Amino acid sequence: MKLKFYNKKITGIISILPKNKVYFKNEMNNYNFSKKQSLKLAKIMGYSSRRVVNEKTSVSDLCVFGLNYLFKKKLIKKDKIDALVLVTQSPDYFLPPTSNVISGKINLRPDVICLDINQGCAGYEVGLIQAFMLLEQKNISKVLVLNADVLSKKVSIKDRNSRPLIGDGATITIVEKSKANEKINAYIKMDGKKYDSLIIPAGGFKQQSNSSTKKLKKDKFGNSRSLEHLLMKGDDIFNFVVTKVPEMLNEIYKDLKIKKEYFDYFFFHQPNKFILEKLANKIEIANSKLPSNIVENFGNGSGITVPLNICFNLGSKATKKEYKVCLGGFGVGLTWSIIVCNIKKLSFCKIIEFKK
Amino acid sequence: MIETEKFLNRLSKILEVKKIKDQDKFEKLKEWDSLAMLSVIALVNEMYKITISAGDFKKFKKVGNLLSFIKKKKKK
Repeated sequence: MKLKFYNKKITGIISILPKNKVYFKNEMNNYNFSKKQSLKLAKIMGYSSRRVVNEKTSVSDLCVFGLNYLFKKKLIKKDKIDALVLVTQSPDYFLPPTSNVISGKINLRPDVICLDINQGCAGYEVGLIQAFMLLEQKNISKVLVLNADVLSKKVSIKDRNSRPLIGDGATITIVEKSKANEKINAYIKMDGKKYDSLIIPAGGFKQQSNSSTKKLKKDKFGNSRSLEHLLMKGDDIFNFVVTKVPEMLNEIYKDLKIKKEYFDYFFFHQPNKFILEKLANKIEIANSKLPSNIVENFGNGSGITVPLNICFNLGSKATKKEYKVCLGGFGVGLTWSIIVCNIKKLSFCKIIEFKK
Repeated sequence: MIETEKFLNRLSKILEVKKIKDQDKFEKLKEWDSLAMLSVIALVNEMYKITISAGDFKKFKKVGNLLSFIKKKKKK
């Protein structure tokens, strides 16, 4: 689907990261692989340290912490918020919606629309698209897109395939109406036939949690996980990313009559260094324009990686200058999406640490 | 033309063996793990624009099987 939006803009981004750092080198003994194999993996995939929450911290905790920071620093006024769009795969509860919980905790007025969306790696783009659609309404002027996940809780400690890359965190993006004649192009596609390429098979309503879904089973490469753990088919994801993302980009170049040089930055989702480098080679974008340093510093936090990427690699520069950016997300669903927009003189663009 | 020699050279680097032969079985190689497999999938994709999956490796027991698969695909 191709979507066009007018007169809307991103005005601020903040990332909230758990303080707790976990180092690959300290964890590699959990895996059923030799030290040499694990070090090689770390080098190729870009594993070093990642941020994870403790057992008690939830998505609403991270979001509320970030929102209270914004209120306290007067970066946003509570009564100006018209909608919360929370994108998460790790909600506090099956029900109620976690966005309602957040709204209650920060005491928003009942007029504020709260929406939960279940999306992951393309969750930033999906959340922005939803925000842009809400902003088409006369009475909606300011939407907060919250991306948050604590998926580290659902990854087996004996799974070398997924464990070393998953990070936790939250981001808050302010999206508003603009009078500056802004044009935004959004492309989004989904392939539900591949729904099981990235999946937590049990623990939901289809296959409820029981003693057998909790049992660890070893795969042929020596990784152990249960049906309640995250399962990622690395080969499927790799093939999907290096095929579908370049296809979508080429479609965009053609439709919008632009070349790759048009963009100052490609802020893409950060699955791992390996996939990103292969993708960058394929679409012929220099590393300096396509940052791939999020996994090594923070881990892959699903929908937070694109806004965190902007906060980490642009930071305060984004408050002073204007950048033409290509935002890209791809993964669970399978879902892939690219948004062409400008990041222009944000009122804030920073990272803070979550403290209990 | 599928530049067999160049492919085998790069394959042997991934699998950390001096010289790789048609008869070598992937699963018997010391360095064969999920990372090696993903690296081979990526190499085939890069050099030949052919997509192979983890499931395909059940058919490619030996290096030679993979080579003939690539040759067949490229002929089409």
